Amino acid sequence: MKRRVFLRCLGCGAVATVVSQTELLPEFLGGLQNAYALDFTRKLSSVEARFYNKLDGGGIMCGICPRRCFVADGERGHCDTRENRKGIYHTLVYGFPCALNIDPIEKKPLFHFYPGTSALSLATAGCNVDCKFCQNWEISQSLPEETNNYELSPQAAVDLCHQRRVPTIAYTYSEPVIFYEYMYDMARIGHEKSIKSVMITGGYINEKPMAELLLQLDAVKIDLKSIRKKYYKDVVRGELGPVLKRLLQVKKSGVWLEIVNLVVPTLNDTEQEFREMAVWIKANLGADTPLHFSRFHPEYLLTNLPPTSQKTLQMAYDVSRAEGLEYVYLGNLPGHPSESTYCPRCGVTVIGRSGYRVNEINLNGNHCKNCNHEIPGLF
Amino acid sequence: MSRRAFLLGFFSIAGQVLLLRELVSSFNGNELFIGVALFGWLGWVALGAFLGGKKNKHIVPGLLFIIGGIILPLCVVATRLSPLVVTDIVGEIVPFSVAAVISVVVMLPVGVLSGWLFPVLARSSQPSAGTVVQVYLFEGIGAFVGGVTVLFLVGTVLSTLGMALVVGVITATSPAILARRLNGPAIAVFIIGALLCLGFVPWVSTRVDTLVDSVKYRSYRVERSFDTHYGHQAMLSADETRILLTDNAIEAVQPDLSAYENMLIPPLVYCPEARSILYFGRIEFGLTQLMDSLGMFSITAVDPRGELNDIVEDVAKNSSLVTRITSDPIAYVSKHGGQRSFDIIIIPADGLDSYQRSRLFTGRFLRSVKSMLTDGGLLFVPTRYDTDRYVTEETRELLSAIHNVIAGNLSNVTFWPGERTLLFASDTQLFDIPYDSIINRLLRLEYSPQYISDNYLADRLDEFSTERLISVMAGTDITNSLERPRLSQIQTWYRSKTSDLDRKIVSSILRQPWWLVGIPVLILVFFFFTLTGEDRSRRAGLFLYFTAGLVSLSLELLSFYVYQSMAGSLFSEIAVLIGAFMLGLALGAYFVSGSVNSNMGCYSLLMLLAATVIFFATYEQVHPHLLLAYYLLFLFSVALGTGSLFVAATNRYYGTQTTGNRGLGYAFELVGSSIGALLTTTVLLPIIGLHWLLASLGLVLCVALLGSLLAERVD
Repeated sequence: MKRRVFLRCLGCGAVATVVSQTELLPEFLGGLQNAYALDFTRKLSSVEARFYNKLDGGGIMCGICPRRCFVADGERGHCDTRENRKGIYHTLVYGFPCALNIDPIEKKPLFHFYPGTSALSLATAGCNVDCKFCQNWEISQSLPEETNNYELSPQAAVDLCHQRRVPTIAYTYSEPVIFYEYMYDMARIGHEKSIKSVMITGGYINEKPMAELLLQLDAVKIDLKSIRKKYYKDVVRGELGPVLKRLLQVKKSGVWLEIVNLVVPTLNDTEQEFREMAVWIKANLGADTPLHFSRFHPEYLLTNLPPTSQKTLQMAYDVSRAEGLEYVYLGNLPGHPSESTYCPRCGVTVIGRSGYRVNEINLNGNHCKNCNHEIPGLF
Repeated sequence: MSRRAFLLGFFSIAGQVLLLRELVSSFNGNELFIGVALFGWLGWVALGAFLGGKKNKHIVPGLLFIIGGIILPLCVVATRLSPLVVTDIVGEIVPFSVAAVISVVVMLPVGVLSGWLFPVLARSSQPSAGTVVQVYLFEGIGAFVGGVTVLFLVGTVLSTLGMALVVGVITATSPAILARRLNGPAIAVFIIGALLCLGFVPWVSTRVDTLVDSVKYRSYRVERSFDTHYGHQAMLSADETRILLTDNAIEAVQPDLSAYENMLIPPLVYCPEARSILYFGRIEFGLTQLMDSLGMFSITAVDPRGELNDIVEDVAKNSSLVTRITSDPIAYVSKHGGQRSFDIIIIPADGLDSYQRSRLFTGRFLRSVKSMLTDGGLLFVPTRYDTDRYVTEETRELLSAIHNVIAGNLSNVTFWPGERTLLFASDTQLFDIPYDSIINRLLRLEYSPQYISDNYLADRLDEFSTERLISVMAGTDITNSLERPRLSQIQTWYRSKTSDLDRKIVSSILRQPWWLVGIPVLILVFFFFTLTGEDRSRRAGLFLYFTAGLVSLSLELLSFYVYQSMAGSLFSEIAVLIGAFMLGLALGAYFVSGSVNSNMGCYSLLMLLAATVIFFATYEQVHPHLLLAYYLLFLFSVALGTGSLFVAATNRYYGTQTTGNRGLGYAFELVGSSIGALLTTTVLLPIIGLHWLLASLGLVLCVALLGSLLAERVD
């Protein structure tokens, strides 16, 4: 047999084999497809975003957060939730939260804000910083089209609160700044219908959007991840300066403010750092600003670090109290005295807590039942 | 030449195994990572063989051995320190894509050197086929000795670094000792010098191991740094926290009450009368303390790393209620299956990136586990997957796969959402109890749980979270089996989310596998290439080389996978299997090296084909007691076929020629091997399954057989 003839025969044979096996092929290939079929609906919104400037050439400059992303036509901002479509900047997550729960308000944690109540807690995919320890990385590092989203308009969210008798909406888990428009509308409609709004944020937002938003909010909890610029640069991939400014802005606005610091072993857990943070808070926000230290759990890029030890948390507590902060709390340490709120004047337990449960409230309005000292917050 | 070829085999296999071990330890690697690293190694050896075949006239082999002996330990240290170069902070994980690039780079010096030495040793005035086969034969024997030595010494006597130093000293000094020019006293001096160096190795390596870990974990005190058969361990401490690191990842932390309560308390809610528990993993650190507090039952803990027992006792409190069994979980269950002696069996779903752990979630294993449960007994699977606030697609697939495998064996399955999602299963209806009863049962325990208590459970078990978990898991048919182990692949997809580049790579390779069609096309193109041209009779030898590499390595990896899934991953047995394979290669080459039979290639291919078909038809029917014998026989047959096929390919390609590139054939065999390493168990097994994979290998053998027959007709 000549070579060409042989090759031709072999080619024909191969084709014939494939054709004759067509019954098996779909099963084989279909198996591949079905194995990883994604059957979730992943809708994206196309509501025009706020706080951006149009630039020549079809690009835009986002003004929602200090990153001030330049976004070319067809591209998205750093947060991956805002997209430039022919010079119009759109939010892709308006009305499509990927997380929706009814949580105790203590879980946020907000300890001076209607203790014992619950909050409809929601978040969308995406984030505007890249914390290496992110405890919600599964959604914060996702694109909005990758998550399994609920379809929930601001009005529907408020209605859900009424239906479930939940007094508050919490914008939480990922970074609510990236779904600003959705949050803003929900807070506005909520206020009209007596539903309160709380923002659980990293505080990496520009002054103007924050100022408008504060008019609709009842409380803000800001993650002050460290008092060191280097930590923000290396671990958070953000900046400390704007966060400190937002803390001052919130405090000045009169909206209730609490602060959380996630203590990450070896990265931000020195006594000196705790002291610097307490000193700054006392000097700039007041000794009565609640400060929560929460426990790190190995997540995202830092799975090779252990959880924060109780000893370190205790040190953070002791240092902060010694520097004069009146309301310091340790998170996720059940049974520890620092779960509860004590009157700074007489030392009586004014709000007793165990885990997410509130066991006792010894307040008359905002005043200690025992000595009538005013306890800051909304009760 | 034969002694140097032996030394080459010894050095080459030791270098490969030690570097792979170190890479897996440093990057917490799974099969996909091992596949890439092995691909890198084989690719570099192939390149070295090709280049060495072209440029070998003025190169002294002894010099290359000395260089190799020096760079091997340096490469091991460089590998261990490499995570520091690519991460900013302590404890940060290295993305797969970066780790893969590092693995390929680290393999370069030793890999290229090993490959280069092959044609350097094969150069002589003898007929080319003869020298090539001779080098291959003695290299095989050296590899057998080197492989078995490394497997038995590392983890027992020496650490990876210590073994690298030993291999380095032997490789660097042997050429001088073997040199015929040296007289007796000079050789004695070299031998004494080498022995002195070897005597210092344990002392040096222990200190360097600790020093390197101290640099890597600079915020912690390194209490111990050591190796087991299964990887690198380090015991760290800071304040009152003690951490057990396994392969650069945290395995256990003490204290971590939340983790240990989640591990032990929830099953007691459904099985309050439980008296005996079987746990797969290490229970020192927190669990034993919890056991003492509960104080009413015994726990049997199964873990293969016996070397850890004494070491953790130094730093962690032990309990009299605990019985530790040093065994692989599968081997243990295979031996004790049917003895209904445990009320609760706990299988933590950790480390599912690798088959090592995910093989515990197959129907086969769970059937055996079920047979060890008492009537009304409970299987408990704590996971680290977070379903507290949302359930991502990746988590859904992972939990569904675990759930579906369990549900296929036990009739009732339920779960608790939370930051650690927990699955419970039983053949008895244990789970239909109201929330208040759960709390009452918790209150009746002798120990008052802090985290598994009403203070947190009301939120954790609220209808919103529970219903969400039920709804997302409903209707999925994803499962995990020995035939198609998908759990590791989904876990790799889950972890790839930590890096944009990883995500793109993993998504395109594992989630959209249409590119697989290109593999048979490329093989056929290569096949047709070898059938064309004036010297097509010779070229057919290249396809035989390629087939020998591809099929033998694929069958070797597949048989290890199946063996470990059925019999367990006992280190000594794996060492015996690897030894049998290497010995088979050498013997296969030896028996046919003098033969001039032109049909030899066909016989070898038929032998490989028969082994593949018989394995396909019988691997599921083997009696557990005969598994080792069965796999020894299978691997030995495959190795005999491969060794003889190498000789047949060499005879066909080189014939009596004494010129030409003598590394080329070897390089083609390694290219085949590297493709097998990169794709077989890593990508193809979970995507197309074991049966289709074996059928594909059979098809490649048939094509090679056809080519061989056609080449003979040309002759």
